[in-house]
Amino acid sequence: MRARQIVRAWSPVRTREQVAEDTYWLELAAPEIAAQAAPGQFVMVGFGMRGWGVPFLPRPNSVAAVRGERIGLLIRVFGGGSRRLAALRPDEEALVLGPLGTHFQLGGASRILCVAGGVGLAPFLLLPRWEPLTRSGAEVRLLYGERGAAAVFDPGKIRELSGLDAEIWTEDGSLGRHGRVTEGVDLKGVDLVLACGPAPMLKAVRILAMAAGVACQLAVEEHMACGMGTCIGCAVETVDPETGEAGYSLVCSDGPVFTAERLRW
Amino acid sequence: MVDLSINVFGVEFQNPVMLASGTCGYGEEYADIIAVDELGGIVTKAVTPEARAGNPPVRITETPGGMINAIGLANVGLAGFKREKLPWLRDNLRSGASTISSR
Repeated sequence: MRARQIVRAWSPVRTREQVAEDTYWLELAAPEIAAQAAPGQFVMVGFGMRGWGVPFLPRPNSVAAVRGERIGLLIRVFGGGSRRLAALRPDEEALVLGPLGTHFQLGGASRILCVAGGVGLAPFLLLPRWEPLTRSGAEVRLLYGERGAAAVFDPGKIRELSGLDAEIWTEDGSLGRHGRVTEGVDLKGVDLVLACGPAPMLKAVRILAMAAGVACQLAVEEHMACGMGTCIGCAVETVDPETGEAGYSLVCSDGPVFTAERLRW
Repeated sequence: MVDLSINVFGVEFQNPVMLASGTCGYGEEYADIIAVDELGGIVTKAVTPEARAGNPPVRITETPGGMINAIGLANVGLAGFKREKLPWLRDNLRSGASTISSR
């Protein structure tokens, strides 16, 4: 039996809210995806053959919440595709494919440090509500970094969605602690580090965790076309930790969550 | 039911609809969301004599109304194809869809 079922369905938008500069919170009705999605997994969101043009390809978005039959997405406008998604209005539909990819593995951890950069915050809004985590009773601490205050997702909303009080870092010091979020990484007593955000941030977290000998998993981002391992477009350099053999893995289907040891960074 | 079957160069296809040149992967990738066995056939991704890792990223970019890719013929090679991909195709494209290997 297959462990999961990938579903592709037109999904109406139920909620749209601007939550920070160029950043939107969308909730779409996608019951079969909501029933299965785990933190780190993503959905491809697009318009199929409706509205031919931009975006031609669907866009990968991390599942940021499961609220009943809805999934929540945190969308930041970077280009034409994300602009189109961010402009979706309630009752408009998007074609959603998912849940896709791998998710974070708790592996019996009891103290988990989550490090989020920008919209890399998304999987950590879902994580504390994920049944395996609540069942494990693990303690979760969340560090969340942005360039400046205008980009910061409302801390009250973070608390509402995740139950966590995020420790906020801004590079310009306009809100929370001043500096890069990686400066807040303190691994004392931590037995698992999870990170999602821009590649330079992930690389820094990876180095810190590996140096301290703490288990670490990174949710990697890459441009994608199909999202399910067919087009082989989202390659990332990896190494087999057992054989030492180097090669490429696919962010969409071998990832997006990789162990620190697996990535050849 | 209307008979749409065709014969191309001696190979029988149950209908003339094929997913071409790797767009359906090796079939298995899309088994959850389309009825692969109802197609006329699928053309797999390229299979080369030796396995190929493919090009370093970035491999794809979107254009208005399309996409350009430079994957680099990443594939498991002929032996890997026979071992890892063909069994699924053989077992799941039973009723009529045919497999064409691209090379």
